[in-house]
Amino acid sequence: MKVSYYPGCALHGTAREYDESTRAVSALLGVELGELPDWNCCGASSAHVTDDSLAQGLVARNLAIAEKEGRDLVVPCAACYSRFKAGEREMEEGAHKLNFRILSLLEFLVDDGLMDRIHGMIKQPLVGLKMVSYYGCLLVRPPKVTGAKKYENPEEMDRLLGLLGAEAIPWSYKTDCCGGSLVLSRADIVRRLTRKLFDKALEAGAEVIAVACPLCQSNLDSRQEEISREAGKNYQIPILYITELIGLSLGHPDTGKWFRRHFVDPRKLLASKGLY
Amino acid sequence: MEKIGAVMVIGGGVGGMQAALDLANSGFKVYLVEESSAIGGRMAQLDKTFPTNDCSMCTISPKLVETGRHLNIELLMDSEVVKVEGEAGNFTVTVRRKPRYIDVNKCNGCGECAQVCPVIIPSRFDQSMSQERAAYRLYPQAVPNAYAIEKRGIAPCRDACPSGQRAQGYIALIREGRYEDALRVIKEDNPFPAICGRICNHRCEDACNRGLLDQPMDIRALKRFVTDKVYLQPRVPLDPIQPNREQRVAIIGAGPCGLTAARDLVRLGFPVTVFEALPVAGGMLRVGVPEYRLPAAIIEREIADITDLGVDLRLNNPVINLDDLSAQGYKAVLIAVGAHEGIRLPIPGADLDGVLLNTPFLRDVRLGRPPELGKKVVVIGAGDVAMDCARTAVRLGKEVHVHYRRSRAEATADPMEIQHAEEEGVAFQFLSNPVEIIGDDRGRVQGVRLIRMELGEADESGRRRPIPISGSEHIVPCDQVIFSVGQQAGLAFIPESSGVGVTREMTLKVSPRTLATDRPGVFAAGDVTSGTAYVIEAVAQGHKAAASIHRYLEGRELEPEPPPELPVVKLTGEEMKERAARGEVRVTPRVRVQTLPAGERIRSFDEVSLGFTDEEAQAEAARCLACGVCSECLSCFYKCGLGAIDHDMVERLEEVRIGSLILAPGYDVYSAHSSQEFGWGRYPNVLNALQFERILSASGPTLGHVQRPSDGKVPKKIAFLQCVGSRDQNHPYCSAVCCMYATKEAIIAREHEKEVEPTIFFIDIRAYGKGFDAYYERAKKEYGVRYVRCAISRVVEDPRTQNLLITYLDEGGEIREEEFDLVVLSVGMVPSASTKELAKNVGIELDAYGFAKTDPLTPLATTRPGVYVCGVFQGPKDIPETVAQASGAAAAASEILSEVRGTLVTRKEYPAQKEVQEEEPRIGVFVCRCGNNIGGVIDVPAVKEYAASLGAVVFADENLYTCSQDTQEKLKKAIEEHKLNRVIVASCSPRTHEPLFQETIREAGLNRYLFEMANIRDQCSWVHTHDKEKATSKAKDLVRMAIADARLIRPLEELTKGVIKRGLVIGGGLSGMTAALGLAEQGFEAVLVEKENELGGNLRRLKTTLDGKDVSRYLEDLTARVTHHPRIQVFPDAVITDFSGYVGNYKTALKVGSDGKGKEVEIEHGITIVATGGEELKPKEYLYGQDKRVLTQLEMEALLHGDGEKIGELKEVVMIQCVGSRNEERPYCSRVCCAEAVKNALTLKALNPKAGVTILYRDMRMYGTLEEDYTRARKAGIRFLRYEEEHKPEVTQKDGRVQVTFYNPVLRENLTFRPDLLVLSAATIAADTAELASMLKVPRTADGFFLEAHMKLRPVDFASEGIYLCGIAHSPKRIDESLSQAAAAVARACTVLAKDQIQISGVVSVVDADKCAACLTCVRVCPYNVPVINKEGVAEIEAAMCHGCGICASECPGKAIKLQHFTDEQVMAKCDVIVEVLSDVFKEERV
Repeated sequence: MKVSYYPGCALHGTAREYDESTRAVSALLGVELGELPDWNCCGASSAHVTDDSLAQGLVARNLAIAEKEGRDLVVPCAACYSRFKAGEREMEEGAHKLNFRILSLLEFLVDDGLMDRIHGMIKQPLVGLKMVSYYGCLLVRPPKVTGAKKYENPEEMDRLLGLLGAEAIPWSYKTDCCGGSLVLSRADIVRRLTRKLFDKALEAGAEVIAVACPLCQSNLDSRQEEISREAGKNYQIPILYITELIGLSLGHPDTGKWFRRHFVDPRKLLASKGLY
Repeated sequence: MEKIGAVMVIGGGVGGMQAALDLANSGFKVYLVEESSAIGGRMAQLDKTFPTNDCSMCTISPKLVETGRHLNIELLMDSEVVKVEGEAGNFTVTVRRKPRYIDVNKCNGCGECAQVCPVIIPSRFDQSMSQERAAYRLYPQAVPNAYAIEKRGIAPCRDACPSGQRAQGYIALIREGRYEDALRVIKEDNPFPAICGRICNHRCEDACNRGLLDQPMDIRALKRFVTDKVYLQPRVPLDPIQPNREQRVAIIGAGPCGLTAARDLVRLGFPVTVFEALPVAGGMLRVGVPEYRLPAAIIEREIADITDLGVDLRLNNPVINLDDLSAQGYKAVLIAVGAHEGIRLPIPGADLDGVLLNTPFLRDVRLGRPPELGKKVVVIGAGDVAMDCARTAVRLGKEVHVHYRRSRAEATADPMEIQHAEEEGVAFQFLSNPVEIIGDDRGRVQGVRLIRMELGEADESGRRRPIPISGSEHIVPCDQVIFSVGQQAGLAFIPESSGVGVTREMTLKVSPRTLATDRPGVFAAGDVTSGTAYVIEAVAQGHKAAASIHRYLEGRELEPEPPPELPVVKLTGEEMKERAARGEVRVTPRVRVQTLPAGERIRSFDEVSLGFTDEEAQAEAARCLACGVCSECLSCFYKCGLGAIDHDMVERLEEVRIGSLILAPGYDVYSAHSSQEFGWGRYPNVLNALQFERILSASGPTLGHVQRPSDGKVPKKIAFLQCVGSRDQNHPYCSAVCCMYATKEAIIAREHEKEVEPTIFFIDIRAYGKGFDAYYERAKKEYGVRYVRCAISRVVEDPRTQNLLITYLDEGGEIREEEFDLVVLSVGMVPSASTKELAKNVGIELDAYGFAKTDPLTPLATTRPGVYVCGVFQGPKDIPETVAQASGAAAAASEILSEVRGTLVTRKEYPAQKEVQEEEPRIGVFVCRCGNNIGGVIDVPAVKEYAASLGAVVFADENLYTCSQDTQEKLKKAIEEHKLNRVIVASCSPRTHEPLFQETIREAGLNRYLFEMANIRDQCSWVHTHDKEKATSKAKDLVRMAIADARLIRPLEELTKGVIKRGLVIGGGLSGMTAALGLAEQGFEAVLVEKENELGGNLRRLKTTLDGKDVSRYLEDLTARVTHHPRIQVFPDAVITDFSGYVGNYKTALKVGSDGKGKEVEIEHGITIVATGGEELKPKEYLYGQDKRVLTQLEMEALLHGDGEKIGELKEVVMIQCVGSRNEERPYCSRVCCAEAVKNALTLKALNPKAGVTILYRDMRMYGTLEEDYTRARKAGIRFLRYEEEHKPEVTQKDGRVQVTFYNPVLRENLTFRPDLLVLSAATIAADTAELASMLKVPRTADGFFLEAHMKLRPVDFASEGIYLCGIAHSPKRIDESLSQAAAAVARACTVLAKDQIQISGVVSVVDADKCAACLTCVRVCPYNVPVINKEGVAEIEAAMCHGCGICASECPGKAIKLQHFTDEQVMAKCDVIVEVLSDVFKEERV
């Protein structure tokens, strides 16, 4: 199976481990990722709030390239995904129907066929690992853009984590905002919002927060030291990509390379569970 | 066109029942169609009703009974309408009657079927908060009082089984621990449970829906588990069945097929002989399957269970010639010899010494004479039989190699068998084919030459064809070769001349549906017809052959009739995911069956599979999804003593001819799954309001204790979230009832548990109905219910406590987060999927929301003439409005049929009553067992004996079910034979059954009052189940009391009075005119009295409706129709001066014409309708009357329809709501003003878009579909600003302008307007009716509106029969509501006017004039104002008006009043018995 792949800027930079784990897992599953040739910025960081036509143009160019490829486009970053889906809606209003589907990486992975494949290849079930799944704002919302049916309480990631053998704990904050878009301008708000997420995840009994967005990951991963100082309490919750978790359970040899890049290194926790 | 005097009502809720009763009571035959198994609808589910907090069930229960028992109401239960053809007056309706599987006429509601039903489903009535059985009664008081069976279809497991095993059924029984029953269910369809529990190829499991979620159920292991449990006990031999038929049947072959057929035929009464060639029975089971898979003891046990029944089994008895059997007189023969001959591959060396065939090898081992084998054995083939050979050889201590020409994937053996064989050391070589067996010089095998194969294209079997790889030949040395490449039948005894055809595959030729061979009377089944198959197929074929032989011997058509069609409940992966998402199923892997370790296995022939332990079996059984719901386990069938269960019922279509149709199908509660943000279905402590209603109900899942689901604790803080599924983007209407029911639930919760602190989060409180605002105020002040005006956007859960967090904006504008123990979602009303279907089938249009489309000026008519609507299907509304509409719809439906009134009704004829007055009491006592309900606790024969021993009792008997139809005949016969003149039934409650028995004795010629009942069930056996002795003793006492009473009862005369077929309507406004016209159109005379000179009332001041309909035109038409109607007499300018009489016979005096020239008129009439209306208040505040720029809404409406120029000049208009309403003086809401203000504002905006319009309100009460007008108004730019009661607007004159200043709590600041016009939404007040009320002796509320008999169920009746009310006289209401109510009053009136005579109950109070002191006590206490002091100066009670409540009799200080049938003597006689009983008890204690 071959699909188009749009890594976006984050996966080439801060979220390299997301890119690498995605490619590694895809290879294991027999999925060929064809990186979109000559892709450009998706417009998520600033274009879409400053210049409508620029924002639309950036998206349109990427989609036009993808249309030429004619394969489903898999997008690992929630912000890119949101921009593309918004672009798709706008095109539909203009009566242009794309000849491929835009899928978030999560959507792509939880497809029945791939889930079966993953299930059949598990070498090390993540038994005993308690997690909450965190979707953030853009992966399922706004439903008008994403078309998600269960946007208040999405469950795909939980299903995936369950399949890997982990315990996916239900909690109420799956789609709460982490403050990602205020990362630079209002760090105080970001700290308040992320701290709430940590507290609620811990209350629910989680040891790991699973994510499928590079912005959520970096925001949650990198703030813990600051917040710990502020709160006088030690926050040490690994924030792991779903692809890293799949890689771990399929016994991929490179997991250590990915985990090493995290601010909160998950290896100690995983080792205590006999998973690393 | 011929008109038909029958009406169909669809929907058995409170609306449907009311319409049905009104119609049936006014001379029409009614068909009441209900889709569920009981009538009662939503109201039956409610706990209490607002604003009176009456028990909902108590109020509705008498209606249920009346509807259920009505002679002219035919209940079509479990039914839906498919098609409506014809036209108004003459319709033909096609009704789909769904099977209920229980005969309503035979079932008496004892509930024993539910007690034995093993299938658990979430209770629908309790909204999934408790469980019920597949055999269920919707609720204890359900009418009809009969159970029903919920069956969704055939479970896929059963469908997949060749023999139709009811796997779901026995799994459910295993879960219940009822192993004997489970075995019985298996044996219904399969005489070999233990065998199939071991070696079946379980197609059921492949079909199991559970496989879509995790893994299929381990059905085979569960089946085996049951037999393991039951077979622990030594076998008890079965009684033989005596044959009752002559025709003998011969069966050749005692394998599973032959024995199954033998069992079936013996049970049908045929003498059966089974001929078996081998020395043992069981066929392949016994000599083919190895011991380690199927122990011989089990086979013998199951065969013994068959031979016990009387099968003549002849072992060692091969049949040589078919003709011999005919000669011996067998009328039918079944050939079931199986396929026992192994097949030798046609390769060189195949007949060398040391080459064995599979079946003889296995047979010899099984019969205890194993062949001599060398060291190394090669098995050729990889089917199940090959595995049996290989593993048997392993157990004989040999080295075993299996060679198979295809790959592992194509091997036909069960993969588990292959795995087990490997574990036991069998070596497998796939893609390896023998080409030659190599022998030594003595002709003994010494090896096999094999060739390697590869897979080519697929062959006809779908498997890839193996192709030899050239040059790959090699020799494998060995001592033995066992061929296991197939089996075939031995057909030597069937020569061509026998007339039985044989196929090329060496099987017998049979017709597939009948299993008949070419020779008449000879049948064949099993492997001999199909080649080697599985046991379960042999069993299935055995059944089929037996059924075919049965038909053949009875000379019937040989082809079987097709079975009733039931859908197979096959789920899709998507549906399963949905169910999982809703939390209905959870991923739970299959429980693994333990096996003997491989090392131990190979040492013996002990069974490999160890089977389930109890715990494992329970856990596995609990995984069953119960796909079909009812599993047809037949537990109920065997239990029911009345023969009411019939699992073969099928759906059928029925045509019903009617004249008109009323739709009252009700609604669904909004599914809060669609509002994911509130977590319903996800968080255990978030309930919907109907669930909470069940929690509050004494008959609900917590018996009325306020408990939260997660931990059963009393929730201290409860939040109610309003408008869930209402007033949102998908539901742009208000559900009209939620504010009040939330208030009620908050109050009741607090009444149940003092510590509860309810908070209601709301947008507007819409307490617009009669008495609602007072209720709301009481909730706040007396019950401390906290109201917070904020729409909540989500609920989150604290995972540790499962408490719920809600964020809201408080009054100070601060965001607050608050924790609650329980959240109740006030879910709205939505049209159900079935109502949409109904609309399509009936052919009516729906509105944008999916409710029936109606017009405000004809609110009861649908878009199809002759089809009417009422209740929530017409738009969201509460119970009284539904009831009023229902009566109104009944009036509309009967109006077009008035000329055929009475043509289709049944009147019952009775034999003449026997004169028993002078006779000595001869009492008959019938003690009921009620199945086990009474008989299981009370010693019924002892009670009967005891009763027989008491004086005056001449006959006593006991019945299994006294209420059953045949017992009624028994009762009548006993009355005749024993000349009984009093009858006592000791059974259940008179509430449900007294009328039935009274009817029976009346049919036997006894006066119906000569009956007495002793309630030994509800009040004895049910409450003393654990003390049988004392319960029996109490039952005796209850019977003795009844006898004491019965000795004194007297026959009572039921009086009849004539009816004057004329109605008086008081008030000539919209309601009065509509009512008068209605009466006239129904064919009765009407007299309309109006105090003013002109008809029309308030309607004269209204110009349009909110949706722009011309009211003036409507009034003009209506007035013309009324004044010109030949049966209507109008008296304008008239007042009532005197009123007397009773229902059917009233007399009213009028003074017509004022100014002294008035004349007196006297009118005789049968009924009275009060429609005196009301008027708009003249405000005393806000400069009204002082400044001409200050108007009321009605004045504004006149202005809007008058001076166009002035309207165009307006720049700013302000309206103030609630002027004179919702204050201390008038604590009620005037209901109409919000909509009136919006209407005028919109009209103004349309005329002058530039004008600014501001409406100052407290709550915008735009209930129901008015919500959309509210939205429309906001979209039109009309400003809605809220003020608070504590800060009313201040209106002053400043600089020659009107100035309005008020505090707005949203902005938290004062705002000032200087409008050109200030419009006051002034209160609606009742007309001055003090004098009229006292003449009519009917009550009024403190606000001056008339008070109906019952707030919920009798909204247009007065307590005094024959007097009705409608319109604003009842309370403020809008045009469509008045129209509905006026029609309702007509329908209620018709129930009287349609009768020629009124029957008066014998149970009435009578006055002994000699004892009466005229103290007025009775006059004061009578709730119906019946007693009067007559001209002789003593109390007089008109029998026709008396309700028989007995209050006067018990209050009368002079004992001058007695209530017939409940006289002091009778009551004292009963009390004497109690006192005697008590003294007996005391005596015992002293001893």
